[in-house]
Amino acid sequence: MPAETAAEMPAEMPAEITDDELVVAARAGDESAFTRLFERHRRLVSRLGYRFFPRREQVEEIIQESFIKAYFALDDYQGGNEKSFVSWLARITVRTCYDELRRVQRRGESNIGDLSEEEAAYLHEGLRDLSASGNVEGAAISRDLANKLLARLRPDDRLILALLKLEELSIAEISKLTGWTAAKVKMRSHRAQHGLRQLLRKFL
Amino acid sequence: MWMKDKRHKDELDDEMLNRFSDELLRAFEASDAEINTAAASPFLFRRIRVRIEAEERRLAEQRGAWQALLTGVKRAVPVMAMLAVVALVSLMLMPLLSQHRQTANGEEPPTLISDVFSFSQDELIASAADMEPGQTRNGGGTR
Repeated sequence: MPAETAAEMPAEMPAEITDDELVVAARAGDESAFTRLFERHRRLVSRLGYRFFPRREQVEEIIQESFIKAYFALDDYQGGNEKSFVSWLARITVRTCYDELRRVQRRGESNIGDLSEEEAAYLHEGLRDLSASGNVEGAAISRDLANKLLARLRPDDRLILALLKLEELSIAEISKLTGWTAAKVKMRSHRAQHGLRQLLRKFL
Repeated sequence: MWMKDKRHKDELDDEMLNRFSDELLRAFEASDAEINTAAASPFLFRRIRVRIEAEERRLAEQRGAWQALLTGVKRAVPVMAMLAVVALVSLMLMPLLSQHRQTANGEEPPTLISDVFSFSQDELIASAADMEPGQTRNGGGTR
């Protein structure tokens, strides 16, 4: 979790106050306590948002949505240990991202169908270079292109891949984060990786 | 031999595709600067507060509407119960009142259908044959 600078902290709160204490204060109607929680954890939410969405305005929307959901769910929060608020907020954020991925796919907002000829050639070259030299650094793929490709995957496959490969979480941790069983996560991770390979094979 | 070569090639392909998949996912990764910029976006918290307040207002209005409905129902329940009791009592008293009114007007109370069964068998046969009870068909006389 990112450390917050002292300058960002509201003056009236002692520095060592825990998340659980802030939650109790926020539940009691203390607005500055919720502000403090936001300031402490906004970077975590932003990082998770960028795992799934490439554009800043999308990520800002995820940050807003996640904190609003967290605010209205504060009564359901059961504290306990040092990391529990972070885990709880991460669960809300991942769920928000997943909902947004599904919404985007349902509405066909991503316009992925279609890589332009240039993009397809770029990707093809990138793959050829990679297969020839094994130099992964040489394959400079723009994020936009990566987004276009990843958007072809099902939202749950994409969610699993991002958590597994980028967040480097274990099956058990993903299971806890998503609320899916470990067997389901395992099965989906196999399917997701297979799906991505199939997708890339088309450009070889 | 050919199968073995093909399997080997597929394995190499898979390995290469796995590496490329990882690269693709990493290409999607945002830099720290981007993450910080989005997190520290101006007015982000202000926008959150505004949306929370709007949602709270909406919930309060919804709660208000439900409360108004419940209050209405609470008031309606005793009135409905009273009306039901009045209706029940009227239903029970109706035959008594009707009988009382008829008696007061000097009318005969209606014959009850059970009276039919109080005729004897002879009376019934005689009535069906249009004769006085005890009278025979040929007048009951002897030549």
